[in-house]
Amino acid sequence: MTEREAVTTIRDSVRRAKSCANAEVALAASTSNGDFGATWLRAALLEACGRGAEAAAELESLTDAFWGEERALRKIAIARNQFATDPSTAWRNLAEAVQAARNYSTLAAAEKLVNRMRRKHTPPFRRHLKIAMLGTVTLDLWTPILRVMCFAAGIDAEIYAGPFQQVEQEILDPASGLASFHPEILILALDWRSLNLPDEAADPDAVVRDKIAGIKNLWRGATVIQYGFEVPEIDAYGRLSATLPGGQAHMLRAINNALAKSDVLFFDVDQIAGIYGKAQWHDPVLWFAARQYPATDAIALLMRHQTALLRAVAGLTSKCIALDLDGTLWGGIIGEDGVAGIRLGGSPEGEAYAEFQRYLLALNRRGIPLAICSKNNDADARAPFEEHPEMVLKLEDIAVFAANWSTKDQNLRHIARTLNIGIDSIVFLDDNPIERALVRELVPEVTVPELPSDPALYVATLHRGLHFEALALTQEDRQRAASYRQNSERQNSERQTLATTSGSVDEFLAGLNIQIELRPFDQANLARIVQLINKTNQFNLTTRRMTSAEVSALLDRNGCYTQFMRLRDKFGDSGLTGILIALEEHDTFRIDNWLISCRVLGRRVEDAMLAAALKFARLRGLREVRGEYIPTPKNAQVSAIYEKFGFSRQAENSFSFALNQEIFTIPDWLKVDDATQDSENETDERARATSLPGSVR
Amino acid sequence: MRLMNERVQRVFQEVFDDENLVVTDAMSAKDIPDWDSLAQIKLLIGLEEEFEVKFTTHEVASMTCVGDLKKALASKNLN
Repeated sequence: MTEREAVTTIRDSVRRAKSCANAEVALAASTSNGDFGATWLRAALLEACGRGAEAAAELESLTDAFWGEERALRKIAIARNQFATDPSTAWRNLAEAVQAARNYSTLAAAEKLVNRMRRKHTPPFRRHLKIAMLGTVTLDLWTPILRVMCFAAGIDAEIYAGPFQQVEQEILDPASGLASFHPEILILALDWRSLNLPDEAADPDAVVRDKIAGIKNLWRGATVIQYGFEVPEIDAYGRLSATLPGGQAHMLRAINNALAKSDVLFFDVDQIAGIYGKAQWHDPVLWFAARQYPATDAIALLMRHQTALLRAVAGLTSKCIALDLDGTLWGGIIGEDGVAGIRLGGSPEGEAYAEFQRYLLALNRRGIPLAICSKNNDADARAPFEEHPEMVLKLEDIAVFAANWSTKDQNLRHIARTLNIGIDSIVFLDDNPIERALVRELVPEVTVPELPSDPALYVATLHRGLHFEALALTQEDRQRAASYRQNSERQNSERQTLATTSGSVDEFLAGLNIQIELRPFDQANLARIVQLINKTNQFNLTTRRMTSAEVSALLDRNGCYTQFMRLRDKFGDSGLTGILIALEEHDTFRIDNWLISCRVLGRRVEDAMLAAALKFARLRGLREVRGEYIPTPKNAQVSAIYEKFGFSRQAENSFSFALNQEIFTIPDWLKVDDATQDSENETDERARATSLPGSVR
Repeated sequence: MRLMNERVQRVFQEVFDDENLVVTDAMSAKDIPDWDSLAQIKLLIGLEEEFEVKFTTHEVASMTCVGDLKKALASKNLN
């Protein structure tokens, strides 16, 4: 059976059940013989009889031959039928349906089901985003698909779609719908036709400059996602369109390149159109009839890429790949075949495994740590990394090596703990369908792509999941792999220190030669600051996410104290890994945001950060510092941190520190270089503070 | 023809999110409050998928009632 036949069988079975005059009678006459069509028919009849839980169970008994529309339709039907009895599993099934679906109508049906279910039960959202879309094409068909895909990614998307072709008006008019919506994200979906390029420009440089200036003029307020322009298939100049400087293709590429280099988030529509196939991307009938662009099913792919970018904006991108070994990184079984017997390089199949490893290595170099999660003897598992000449990945590329006989879910938990990341940010790759099913069942938070049986297709399967889309590549990303390696060296060193001396953890830390730099925010570090604010979960007191524009606005705002922290020790540079933002409100200094990357926890950097902020507040002549703790599922470890530093509890999650009391001292082995103090005005401020207590600004 | 009516009706039910909607040949945008230009496009997309056909630009612009839709469908080789 092909996928198309499977979908047709499903539709026919459902249609037959719906046209039954008496579903009860038909159900009694039906048999459950395990046949695909018969099972769907029975499920549909059970649903018609109001026996939802049984219908869901009937469909749960099927396995998906096709990880696409067939799976999507099955999961939607399960979700619909189990919602009344088991809403949380229903939400998960519906999210899985959306991830598998490719057709517009399937996604639209899923969106309607989400809306129906939402009236009774709140979906498991992780983040709310206010998204405005302005376009030169009709966006009405886009928004439901974007909303449902965001749902599947854990994002509660509140979407404002501006009126058709009123991009400038909406942005420039202070009374527009856009202005009153106050979006966090502004998507500018301009299409190539709206540029009105001449067939061949006499002065292409001037045309390109002019178009770019017009587009840049639209960028204001929120975080902007700028759509690039498709280089269309149809062009009367043919190949000349690319070779002539005044050709449309030539100019569109120049405009795209200029936009890609700018500060906003460039969205590469031309690339996505190419992936889909430009011959199918455009549906001329729908274009003439309704200014619909691109073709309906192409909208699904476009919005899938859009959602992957929004996941990055929301800080929900996956952070780590956990890998099985046998059948995943090489062919054969290392414990039986030995280093000489496994298939890696040297044959068509071996080349496919080597190619997969090269892709993984490239991911690692841009900041995605790799972990091994394999059922093997540790020594067997390490042997290819150390001895096989065709191994692309080396042991030093692996952040956590878990090869043992524990179950994979236990090892995945261990990996998450060791790397200090949430288990929901792991992507797990395993060629064995049983292991995949087990992990999906036991740790549903883990992303488990459905690897095909042919290793030649691994790379595309992983890549098309769009798990690791990022906003920018920071210095910290490039160094992350090294940093994880340093962390494990640190941990080994700590174990040794504690074992060989009577030493305390403090003594160990003193020996690390920790140097801390505290600096006010600046433009140069903005990308990393925004990244950290939006992805830190554990040591994060308020989890207040901010857009690039919002952080940028703090730079020259009065009465705002900003601090970032950089840490170096004898094992290496951990980079920019801490943020503190506080606001002066009358005589109070309110800590609005305070977070530290999990990579540097346990080294008492929080002492240095908070002490600097308290010192600043005291020199400003303020009366008290207020801190709050907003609980989330992930930040319990900082619930008592303010009390630890001598704050007194004012309300359930609100703490106060009176500045007339002694500020705690930080350990003398912490070397702090603090440039966040108002050094020029330090003496002035102190004088002013004594003469005008509590009335600064 | 009865089967075609059922399939068309199911597309209408899906687009207007109303399981009890019954369509007749004379029914047009006047009869269903939500039948706007967007719904029209959704109906066409739904019918194209259900019957695995493509409408021409002329058909898209000239179909104003259920009967027109069915006539256009009947003129094609249906699966």
